[in-house]
Parts: sequence; structure tokens; C-alpha cells
Amino acid sequence: MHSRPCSSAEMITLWMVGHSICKRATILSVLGILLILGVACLGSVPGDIARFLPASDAVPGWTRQGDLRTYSSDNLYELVDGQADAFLAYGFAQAALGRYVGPQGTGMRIEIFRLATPADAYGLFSASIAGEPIAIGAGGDTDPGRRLAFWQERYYVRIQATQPVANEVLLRFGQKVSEALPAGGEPPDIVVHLPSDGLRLRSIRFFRQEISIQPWLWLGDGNLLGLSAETQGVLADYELDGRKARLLLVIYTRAADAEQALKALQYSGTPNMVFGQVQGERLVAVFGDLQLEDGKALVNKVLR
Amino acid sequence: MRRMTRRRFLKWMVASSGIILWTGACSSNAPIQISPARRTVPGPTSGQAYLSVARGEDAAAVTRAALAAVGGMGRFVKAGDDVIIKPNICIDYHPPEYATTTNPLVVGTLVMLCLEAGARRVRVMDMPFGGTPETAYAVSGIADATRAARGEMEVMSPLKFVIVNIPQGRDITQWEVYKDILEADVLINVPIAKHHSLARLSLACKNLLGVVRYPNRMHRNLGQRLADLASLIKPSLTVVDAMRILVANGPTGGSLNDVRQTNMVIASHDMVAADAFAATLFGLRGEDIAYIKLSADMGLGTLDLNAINIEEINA
Repeated sequence: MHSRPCSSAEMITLWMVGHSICKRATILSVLGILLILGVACLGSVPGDIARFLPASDAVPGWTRQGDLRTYSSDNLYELVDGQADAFLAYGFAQAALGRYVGPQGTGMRIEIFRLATPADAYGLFSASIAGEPIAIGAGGDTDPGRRLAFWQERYYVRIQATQPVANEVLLRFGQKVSEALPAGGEPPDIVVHLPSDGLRLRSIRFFRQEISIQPWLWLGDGNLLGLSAETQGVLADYELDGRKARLLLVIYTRAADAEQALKALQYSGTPNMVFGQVQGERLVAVFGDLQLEDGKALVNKVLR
Repeated sequence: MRRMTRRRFLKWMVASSGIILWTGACSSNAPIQISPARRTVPGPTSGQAYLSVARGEDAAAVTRAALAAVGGMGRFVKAGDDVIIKPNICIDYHPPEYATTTNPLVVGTLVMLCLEAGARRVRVMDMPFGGTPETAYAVSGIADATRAARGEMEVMSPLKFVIVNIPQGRDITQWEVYKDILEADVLINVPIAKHHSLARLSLACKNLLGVVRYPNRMHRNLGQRLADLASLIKPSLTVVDAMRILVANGPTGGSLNDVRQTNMVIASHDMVAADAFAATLFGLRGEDIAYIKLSADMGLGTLDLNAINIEEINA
């Protein structure tokens, strides 16, 4: 007679029973094993994000190639290499990669990233804007015929063609993903504090940690502003009477942190700093070639 | 039968964990200790630039001009040498115009120059982090360029990594490095100059991450660890491809709007100096990039561009 193979848990249980272990010890042992298994499984999120990737022929003529891959924070670097820390700064949780082949062997690559919150998805999107705006999801960016990126709810999506394709193809892939993702997504409230006069809309970058703004505002290798996952910040460019300015607004959880950050900024000798001020938990600073009075005026508009 | 008390249960748990850990440790191969080859490159003589910067639209001509100014490939490669060229081929989905991988014409020209100088063989290799090396080599255009120049593309074998000591290391004193990179007679480091989210810029020293195991683990204290690595892996020659540079969203990029056509190739035996010059293309100084500054601090090269003979050529 054939019996089905025992699972590991069953074997352990049988072993324990065979040794006449008391009931209390059995319960303790099972709890211990469950604890170990639970700890081992921590961080391995189910690969459900891959379900948002379009199926073969969802865009006619394009078939999915190879296995879908999912990534956690443990192996994110295998997907984005040196950008991994920039993604982790926005509470990266999971990613999926799908590859597609279309007519004439053209390749299409779709990456979907799940971040901690919709604000984080907006932040990651805003920090990687490089092309033209396009209406998709909660906001999109494209190099027509080559690349499409957008954010929606807590997801950030990148679609890249290996060779130029009709822009319609990129858009259809984007729409397929957008339809599959949860709807919604509003930029974080901090963005509404930005004065609209002279604001360059596509330069708004929401962040939580310094790594996210380093390409635009280098403040050294340390954490000069004392930022953390709890802080919210926004960096934006202005053009006022032909003069360029970069505005930094950070909202801390404690007023003392904002004060300390302003002092650190003032003593750091960061080039082109025009003016900085703290009000409660909010720190505002202006950089660029504005006159001092204009810098103060811009800061005051944020704080009033 | 003995009764299982709480104490006995805890002992059982500790013993089981110990056995599991011991078994895991024994399953890995024992490390092989080797010493890297002592690559000696004579310093520039009179008439040879310490660092050259060639400009022009033809990548092959620009590369040849940059090499000629530092004394020609014959200064670095002797007859019968085994040469490895290490470009940046980090991904398998962007063609060269995205400035994420080294320009194939620069690599192909270097292969040709090495063979002209009498190299026994010239291998080109990197370890892409995504996709397969074969696809990455093909998409980058480097496979075709190398083969056309009669060089060899080598897929780096996981079996060829060996643990080596890093005697000058300040943070890391041991790491797993690709054995052939250490043993080659000549190593030519050929990065593309590009933005990098974590390191600020990816240049020659950063390009060395492609020859070690667990490169992601280097990201903690990246600047010092790269400098430590540079103290071990000393390329004979550094050629920075700045024909196109990636100015944002690096190291993988993805938008042609982030690419600048700078039409330049930089060459020097001094990797630190080459990186320091390349940093200026991004409006930065060598001191602004942690791994360049720390490499200079460790005596691996100079970042004082005013103190060296720089020859600038239009090719």
C-alpha cells in the first residue's frame, strides 16, 4: 500500500509523538516552529503585483516573452542596480518585470513598482521626469515612441521599447496596465503650499530622503537636513523676472528638527543659498540667483 | 521516555539551529587565496601626456587620438600580453544612444589597438545586473564591435570568482573578485561617464564593481569600498568614454533627454585623474565624488588637474 509522503511538519510532529512528549511541550514546539517559519517568510511578499502586467496579445501582435519576474527589497538591485536606494527611499515594496516581443522582433519592457503610499509613487515619478507630459494614470511622462512612465495609486510604471515604435503602441500598453491597477492617486498635500507664480510645474519633486533630491540639490554625503521616512519635502524650480530659483520645503514631525536643519543648512556653506526660514515644523529655503528680498518674498508666500 | 521540559525544549531548538547553520556553512566552497598580478605601467615620459582628452565626432578616431597622446597602446601592451578590456555593459535593454553602456566603437578601437600592439588575445567582459550577458553584449553593440576587431567576448563564469585579500583596504579587507581580471597582463578599464543615483557619478573606479561578486553589498559605505577595491584592482590604462554622457536618472537612464553628446574620450594610466577630469563634464570636481577623493587620499592617483600634463586634441 502506498502512503503519501509526510510533510516536514508532519514528520516533526510524529517524531515528537513517538517520544511521548507532553502536551504542553508539543504546543511549545509547534509554536516555536511556526515562529521560525514566520520569521523566515517575513519580507517575501507574494508575487501578486505581476498580475497587473498585460497578457500576451493584450496589445495585438505583442506576445509575452519568458517568465514574469518579481522583486522585493532584497533583490531590487537586480532590476535597477545603483538606483535601488533611490527606490527604497520611497518605501519600495515590490516590483514586477514583463518582457514582450512585437512585430519585427521589437522588444518592450514593462516594470511596475509598488511603493508605500500614493505620495511615494508620485514622488518617485516626479523625481524621474525627463520627457513630455502625457495624460495617463494620475500623471505621465513620455519620450514619444520610446518610453512611457506614469504613476497611479501607489504604483509607478515604466514602459520602454528597445527600438522606436508607434507612440500608440506605448500608450496601449500603458492603458492596459492602468486599467489593471487600482484607480486613484492624488499628489501629497505638501505640494499645495507651493506658490504658483513662476513655478515650473514639471520641476516639482516630492521626497522623503536626501538621495531623492541630490541631483538637483547636493547637500553632501551625510543627512544634513535630518530627513527620515516620516518627513515630507518638496523641491521646485521658479523663474521670477528672468531669475532662476530653487525652492526647498520640508515638513518635519517636530519643530526642533526643522530648527536644527536650518542651522545645519546655514553652516554648511551650500552654494547659492539665498534665504531660509523656519515656521513651526516647516523649513523653507531658497537657492539660486534671486536678490535677498525676492528670496524672502518667495519664502513668505510659502509660509503665510 | 524522558519528559520534555521547557529547558530541554530550548536546548533542542538551539542544537537544531546550530546543526542547520553548520550544514549551510559547510556546503559552500572553501575560498582560494590568490595574489593579483603586479601590473606595472611606466609613467609618462617626455612627449607623453599624463592625461589626454580627445574631441571629435568619430569615436574611433577620437579613441585613437587619445591613446596616441599618452604614448600609444604600445606603452601599455607588449607582445604576447593577455589583455582584458572592461567596459560598462550594465543592462540588456538600452542600445548605445541611451548612454548607459560604453560606446561600442570605443571598445572596438581599443581591441584593435591592443592587437596591433602585439597582444596575444584580447577579451572583453562585464557582468550585467539584469538579463543575460549574451543579450546585454548584443544590445550594447559591443559584441559586434569586439568580434569585428577580432577580440573575444567572454561571459564571466561564476566559478572564476576567488576571495582575495585587500591589504590597503580601510573598510573591506577581503572580497570575491574575478580571477582573470586579477591575473591578466593588462587591464583596460573603459567606463562610460554617467550619472549615478547613489555615487553621484559612475566613472572608472565605479566601473570596477562589474568584476566582483555581490556588488550590491558594496553599496554600503560605497565611496570607501570602491577606493579599497581600486587599491587592489589596478587597471593598466583607463579610457573614459564621454562620447555621450548620461546626466540624470543614472545609472540605467531611459530617456534620450538625459543624454548629452560631448564627443570626448579621456585616457590616462591614472584612474583617479581620469575620473577627476570626467567629473568636470558634469560641473563637478573630483573632490565632490566620494570614491575619487578617497582613492586620492589612499595614494592611488591624483585629482589635482592643475599639477599634471593634460593634452587636449581635436581628432
